[in-house]
Amino acid sequence: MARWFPLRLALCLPAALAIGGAVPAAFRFAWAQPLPRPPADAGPVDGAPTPVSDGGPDAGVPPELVPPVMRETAHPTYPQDGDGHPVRVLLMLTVSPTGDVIAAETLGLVPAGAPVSFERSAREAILRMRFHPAQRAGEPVAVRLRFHLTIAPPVVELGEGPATDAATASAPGAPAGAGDAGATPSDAPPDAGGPVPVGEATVVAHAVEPPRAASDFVIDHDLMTAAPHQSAGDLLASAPGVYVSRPEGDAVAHQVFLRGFDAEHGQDIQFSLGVVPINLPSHLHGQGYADLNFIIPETVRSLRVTEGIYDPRQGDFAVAGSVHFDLGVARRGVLLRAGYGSFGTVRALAMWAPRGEATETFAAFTYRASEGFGRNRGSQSGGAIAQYVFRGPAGFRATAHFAGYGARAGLAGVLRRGDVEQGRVDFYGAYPDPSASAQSALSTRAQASVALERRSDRGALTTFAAWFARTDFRSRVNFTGYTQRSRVRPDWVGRGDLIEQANGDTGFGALASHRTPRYELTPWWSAAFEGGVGVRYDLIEQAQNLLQAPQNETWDRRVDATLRASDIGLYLDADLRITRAVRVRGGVRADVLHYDIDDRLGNFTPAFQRESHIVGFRRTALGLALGPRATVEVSPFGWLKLFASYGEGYRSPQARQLEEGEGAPFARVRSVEAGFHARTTDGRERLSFRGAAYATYLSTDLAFDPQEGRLEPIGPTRRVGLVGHLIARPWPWALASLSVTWVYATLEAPPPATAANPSPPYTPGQLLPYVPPVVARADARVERDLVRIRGHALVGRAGAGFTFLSPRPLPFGQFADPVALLDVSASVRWRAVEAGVECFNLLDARYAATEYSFASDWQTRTVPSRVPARHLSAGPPLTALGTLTLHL
Amino acid sequence: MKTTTRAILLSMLGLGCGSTGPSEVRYPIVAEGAASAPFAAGDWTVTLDVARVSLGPIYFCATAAASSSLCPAAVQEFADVAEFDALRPSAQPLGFVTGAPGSIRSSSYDLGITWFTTQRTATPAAASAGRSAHFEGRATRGSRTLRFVCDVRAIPMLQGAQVVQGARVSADITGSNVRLVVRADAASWWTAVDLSEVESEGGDPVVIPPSSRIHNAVVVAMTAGAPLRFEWVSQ
Repeated sequence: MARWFPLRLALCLPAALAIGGAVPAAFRFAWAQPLPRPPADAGPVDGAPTPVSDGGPDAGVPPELVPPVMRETAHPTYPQDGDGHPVRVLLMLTVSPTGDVIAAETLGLVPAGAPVSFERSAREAILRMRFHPAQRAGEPVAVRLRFHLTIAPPVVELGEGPATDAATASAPGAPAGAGDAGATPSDAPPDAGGPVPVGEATVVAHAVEPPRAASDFVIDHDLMTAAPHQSAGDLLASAPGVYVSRPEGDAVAHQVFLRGFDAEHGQDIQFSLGVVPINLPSHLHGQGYADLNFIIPETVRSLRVTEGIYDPRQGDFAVAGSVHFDLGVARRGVLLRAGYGSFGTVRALAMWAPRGEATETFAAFTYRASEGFGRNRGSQSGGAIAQYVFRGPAGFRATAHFAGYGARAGLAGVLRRGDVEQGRVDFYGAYPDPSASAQSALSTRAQASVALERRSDRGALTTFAAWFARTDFRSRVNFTGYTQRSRVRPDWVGRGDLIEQANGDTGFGALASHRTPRYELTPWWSAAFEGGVGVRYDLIEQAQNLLQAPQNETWDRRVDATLRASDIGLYLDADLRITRAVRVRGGVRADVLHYDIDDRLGNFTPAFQRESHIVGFRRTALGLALGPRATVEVSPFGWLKLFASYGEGYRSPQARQLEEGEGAPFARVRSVEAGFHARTTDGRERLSFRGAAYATYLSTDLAFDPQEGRLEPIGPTRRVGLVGHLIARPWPWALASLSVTWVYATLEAPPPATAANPSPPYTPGQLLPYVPPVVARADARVERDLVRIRGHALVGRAGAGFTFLSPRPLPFGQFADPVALLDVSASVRWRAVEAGVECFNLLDARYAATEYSFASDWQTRTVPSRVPARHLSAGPPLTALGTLTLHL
Repeated sequence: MKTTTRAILLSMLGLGCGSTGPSEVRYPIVAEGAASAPFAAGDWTVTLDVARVSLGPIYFCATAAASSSLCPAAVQEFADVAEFDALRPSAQPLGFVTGAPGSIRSSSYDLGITWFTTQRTATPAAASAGRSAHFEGRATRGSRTLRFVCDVRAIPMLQGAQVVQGARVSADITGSNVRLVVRADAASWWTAVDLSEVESEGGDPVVIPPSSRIHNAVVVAMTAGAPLRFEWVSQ
């Protein structure tokens, strides 16, 4: 290093990297080479390369030349015919005055015998990257530069979610294949945000793991941020088949629909953030409750949405699929953002991503307050996330993470649609009733984790992680008005069905895994294996009461329990390459789950019976869930991949519903899918299209029961459907995405009528309630230099997202209205200052965020109705938010 | 959204092959009484001149043993209160029954006086003029003729309950092409009454007080002994 540094410092382009996107690629800047002429393969972009000066590689960079700075990266894909070792691709890039990579010429591969597919993968990724353009005397100029991209095999994320990416740095001049052999940030800033004069720096990018199925989507930063989003949960909207809403306000988890599943607050989707699982088992408000609000959206680098269960690393709650949040901040430095908009909404964000550190190293703090778009909808929240990546010798890497969040919000609750239509209550209002006005929710979360990993020279990867999370939830909601009778004192009725739910969860766990190097059995047959274990323990305190507003006096007790739950999981995964065109991956996963339930209101003695025992019911249960997963991938052509996938997964039971000694009856899901991924091979991947047909069979589904304010079993369900996802990048400055998902979801055998439920709302074969048969989503984004002011570009950006839901079936033969929403954003940035505006629901559509059908009595009729009626929770109207951002 | 648009949308999406569970039914409810005729009540011969009965709300449940706690959601309901003439044999429209198709095995109803969970005390509905039924009649025993008037108040026993809980009925309603006929036999409510109790009371007509055994006997007969009969007939 010392030997090279002075010369390189003088000659080389300062490696000013600000890597964005999900996959930090291995970037090695060499010489910024002023262009003598436009390259022959320069794309049709504005601002043809401007001749700067003549000069060969050793001619040096004119001192006034400000080098380009990486602004957005893109995913390289580790080629199927790779041998599991990193491969370095040396390229000559042409970066236009707009910051686009308009040409990439391959100069060579290291090792020289590496498959040519690495060259293609590198070119595809690089042509999607964007830079802050090089400047001379304040004017953007085109430059050519040598660029080293090292593509390493995928890194297995330690979480139970699917693997994503991680970056390590290599020493300058490190030999290929030893790219992660440990340089320090000071001598090899992999993704520094500002111009840092470095002779040569190499950042090793672990390519995104190949998809497990045709509908295994990585939503990269470009697509994820095309449309405006108000929260991290809203980012999911860009994934095919996903609809996200917040019918219960800002302090309750999102309601998520995914590919025919009404996942409610997370029951059917495994959410994870880094190594920390987000779902909470046996949560009182909903099994698998996953509150994503603690994630600061600006810190999300990419999303991996795996629709289906085809990866042995997918664990509990991966029924519809899994979502993994990958955190990282591409743009290094300090970011200060303030926003103000409709309904007195205020948002402040402070974020620091220290230059010279990995993109995963950052700290962020946010505060938000709003009066809400209607009565009793005000909210406040605050949160912080910080991460730091340590790099050690011999391929060691450690990531420390913590996050904290707290939110409180008023809830307007649900309204009878008939009352809205007849003007008894405003669509965005709430019932003028003490019990309705007392609705609120509070949630807090604190979590920390440490993850260690070591990659060997031969490509083996060993990981270990530990995490801790504490969450608290308390809600007061009234869905049914005044229908309940006290169990404790049956003569107490009509005091308001204000259900108070409290759930406190202390969870901790650890994970470990090891992936072997790839063993080449024959020149056309190779294999790699991976195994992992994970343990999780949760101590859960639960209570559910009925309260009488406004004093919140308790007038009935429904739940008072302590749960202890553990999950010990093991998975084995094999990756077999059979010929250059066929790849088979798959394995098995087993989970042992145990429950210890102290139900202090169990064996309840009704008031009309003589007491014969002390109330309470303690019980234990243990069960095993076992499921295979497999994927066959065939690549007949370079532009086409075919997938066939099968997997079996599970959802753990709600512990309080278990009996003594019960074998933990898991909800088992079988998922099968066939699909394809076609894309243009022009290097820039201008068009990419995925299509899949799928079917899922779930042994026990859950649906919301407003009488109890929680999820109740509704029997086995079946879903068959189609999904298509098109991504177009017609020009470097434009991106468009369109996805359509259709599903035919039916109830197979809903619970029959019983004395406790004499009028079951479901019949065999009926469409699954609440699930929209069609979900369509379109995203678009453009970003260009508009004008130059005092030598600096004024960069304009506009984005839009459109969501359509077809009419959703409701119980009792009803359909909810369709939903069509358009969100747009626009901003201009000049130097460090950026001003923007975001509009949500631009068309001001009056829509129901969610709809239910049940009986209620809100005293809006002289004679109350006991027949189930449609109820709605209003979605937000047109909401505008202006933002001012400083990038320092 | 317009129904037509929705239908087109659903057809386009190939959803025509999927049901969404039961759809709504709505059919009329009528009351039929029995023409006045003298009948024996003890050693009295009674003739009713007026018999106006308040009815509603009525909740029809799928379980045979319905109560306010066992039937939180009704299959169908007559969510109103109406008064009818129990001495008029012809059909008297009361309103409409609404709900979802399905099996009905019990009914719970009030006779114009309700005690909903949201009412602090039992409260007469506006349409009931403060009573469950109003009777006027003549009773004769030998040469003695006694004219009487009685306002009956049938009050639910518990808050949140109804005056008649879980009365057995049986019907499978699959569509709206039916009507519900409520049959009342006012004479049967008075057959067990001994009017001698008020024979010595002054006034003409004699007003039968709500605290009397006669009143209570009529209430018991209306709610248990000879309750209203529900019959669904095709239209």
